[in-house]
Amino acid sequence: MSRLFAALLTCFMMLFNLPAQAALTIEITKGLTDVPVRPIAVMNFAGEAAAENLGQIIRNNLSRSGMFNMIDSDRLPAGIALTGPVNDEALNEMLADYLVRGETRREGDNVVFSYEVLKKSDGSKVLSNQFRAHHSRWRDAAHFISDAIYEHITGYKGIFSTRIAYVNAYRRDGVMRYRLELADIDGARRTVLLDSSEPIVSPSWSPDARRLAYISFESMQPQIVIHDLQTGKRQTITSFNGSNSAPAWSPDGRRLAMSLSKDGNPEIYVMDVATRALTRVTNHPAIDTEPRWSPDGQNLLFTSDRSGRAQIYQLNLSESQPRRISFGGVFNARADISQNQQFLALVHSSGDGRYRIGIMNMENRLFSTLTDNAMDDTPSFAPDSRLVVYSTKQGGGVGLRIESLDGRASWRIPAITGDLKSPAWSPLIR
Amino acid sequence: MNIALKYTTLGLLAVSLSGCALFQKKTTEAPPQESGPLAPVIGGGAIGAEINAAGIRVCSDADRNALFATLGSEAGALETRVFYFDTDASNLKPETEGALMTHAKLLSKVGVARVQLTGHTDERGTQDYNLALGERRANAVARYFSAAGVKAEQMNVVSYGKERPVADGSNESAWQQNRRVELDYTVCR
Repeated sequence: MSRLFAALLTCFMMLFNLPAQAALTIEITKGLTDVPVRPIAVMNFAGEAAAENLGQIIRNNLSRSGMFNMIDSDRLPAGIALTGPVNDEALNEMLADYLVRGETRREGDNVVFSYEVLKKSDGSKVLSNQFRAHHSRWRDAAHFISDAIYEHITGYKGIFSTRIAYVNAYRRDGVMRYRLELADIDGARRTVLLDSSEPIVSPSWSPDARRLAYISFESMQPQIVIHDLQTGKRQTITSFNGSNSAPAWSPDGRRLAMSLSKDGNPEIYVMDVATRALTRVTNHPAIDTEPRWSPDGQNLLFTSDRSGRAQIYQLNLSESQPRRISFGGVFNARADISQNQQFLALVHSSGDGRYRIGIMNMENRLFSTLTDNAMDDTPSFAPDSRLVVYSTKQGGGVGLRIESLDGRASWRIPAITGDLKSPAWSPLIR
Repeated sequence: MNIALKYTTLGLLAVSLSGCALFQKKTTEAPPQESGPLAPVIGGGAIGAEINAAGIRVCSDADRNALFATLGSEAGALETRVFYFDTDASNLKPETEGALMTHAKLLSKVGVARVQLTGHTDERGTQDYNLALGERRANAVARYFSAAGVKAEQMNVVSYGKERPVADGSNESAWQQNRRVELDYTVCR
C-alpha cells in the first residue's frame, strides 16, 4: 500500500516537477531530520599543551555537521570558567543546551586529554572521558572527542576521525601527474601515498581501513593494486588483458569485486584476496562495471548498459539473474550503498545533459537528486549513512564536495593544485 | 516533602560534585593502539613513493615514415591516426573507414609492425563506466582491423576512459575531440 502510494506520489511529482522536488527530498530522507539542531558551547581547552586549538577544531567539526548551532564562548554567562566548578545558575542561563569543557596536560611525550559535556536542563555531566596520546596526535584527539560528543548527542556515528582517499591530478613541469592522497574530512592533513606519472582511478577502502585497492596505469595498462597503508607496500593483484577496473572490497574484507574484460567484454568478478581465485558473476555482452557490495555481503550492485544506457542492477549472489533497480532518467551509474542499507547514491542524468548525484531510498524506491551541478561523479557514503562525498566540476577544475542527505551540511574540500577526483570515504577508523 | 524539589536538590548536588571532581576523577581510558588518536597513523608507511613510468615507446618519425612509404601513393591516408566517435557510441563513423582500411592494409602487409589503440571518452558519465566505453571504442577499431586481416598480436588495446582529455571545457566541441581512439605505431621494423 505504501509502495503504491509512493509510486503515485512519484508520478504526481513528475507532473508538477517544480516545488515537488523539495517535498520529494524530504520524503526520501524522512527520519533524518528527526534529530533536532542543538545549541552547544565548546570552550577552549585549558592547559599548557592546548596551543593547538582543540576547542576550535571541535567547534568546526560540530558546526560543519549541520547538527549543532554553535554558541560563542564569549556569550556564556560569567559563572562558567574553563575549569573548576560550574555555577548551576550560570549553566541555566546559558543559551546552549550543552556545554563542552576540557583540559590537556603534558606528560613527557604524551598529552593527557580530558573533557566533559554538561547538559543545561538538569546540569548533569552526560559525558566525560580522559585519555593519553602522543603529543603529535592532538588533531586526532580533537576528532576523537568530537566523535564522542556527536554520537552521544545526535545518535549518529561520529565520522570526524574518518578520512577521505582521493586522486589529485595536477601538472608538474607542464605534464599531468596523479597523486593518491588521504585527507581529514575537512581537507586538512593531506597525506600523499603515491605520486605517479600515470593515472590512478577508483580507490576502495578495505573494511578495516588498513588497505586501499585502486586502478593504476603505471605499467601503461590498467592493473588493480592493493596498497597497505601501514607499511606502504603495494601489490599488483590483477593485470589481465583488457580492462582491470572498479575494485570494491567486500564487507568481510576477504574478497574484492571488480570488472575485468579478459574474456572479451567487461564482466563482474569476485576475487578471493588470499588465494586470488576468481569467480565470474555476470555474463552479458554489455558493459558490466562499478560493483558495490551491500553491507550484508549478500548482494552486488553494479552498472550495466544491457538496456541500452547505463543503469543500476542488483545481483543476489545466491542467484544468477541480476535485476534492474534504477529506472528514472537516461543514465544511472556507480551506485554506492549506505552502511544502514537504506540509501543508494548514484550518478544520474535525466537527459538534460547534466550528471548529478541522485539518492534512492531503498525502502520506498523514491528517487531524488541531491545536487544541482552539471558534472558530478563518484559518490561515496560516509559510514554514518548521512554524508556523501563526490567529485564535481567547479570553476574550470574538478573538486570534492560533501553534502548531507538532510540538506543541513555542505562543504567543499579545497584543492591546492589541479583536480581532486575519485573520492572514497573511509570506514570508521577505530 | 515535594518530590520535584528533592530531585532538584540531588541534581544540584550532582552538578557541584561533578564540577569539583572535574579532571581529578580517574575515568576509563581508551584502550591503547586500537582506537581514535591511539590507533596507528593511517598512511604511516612509506609515504609519497614516486612512480615515473617509461611511457609507451612509439616508433621514431624516420622509422614510421619508412614504414608508411611501403604503401606508396596511398600513404597519405595514414596521417589520420585519431578516430572520433559519437556520444556514448562505439560504432565506427563512415568517414573514418578510409583511413582505417589503409592502416589495416599496411599492418597486414608488414607483419612485424605493431600498433597501440588507445580509447578515450568525454568527461560525461562515471570514471569506470568510461574506462569500459573507451575500451569498447578501441576494440571496435581492433575488430575492424582483424576483419581486414591484421593479426591479434599486432595490436594492443588500452582505455584511459575520461582520464586523459585533449580538450578542456564542458562543451560539445571539447567533448567531440575527446571521444576518440588514438592509433600509435609502436614497432615499425
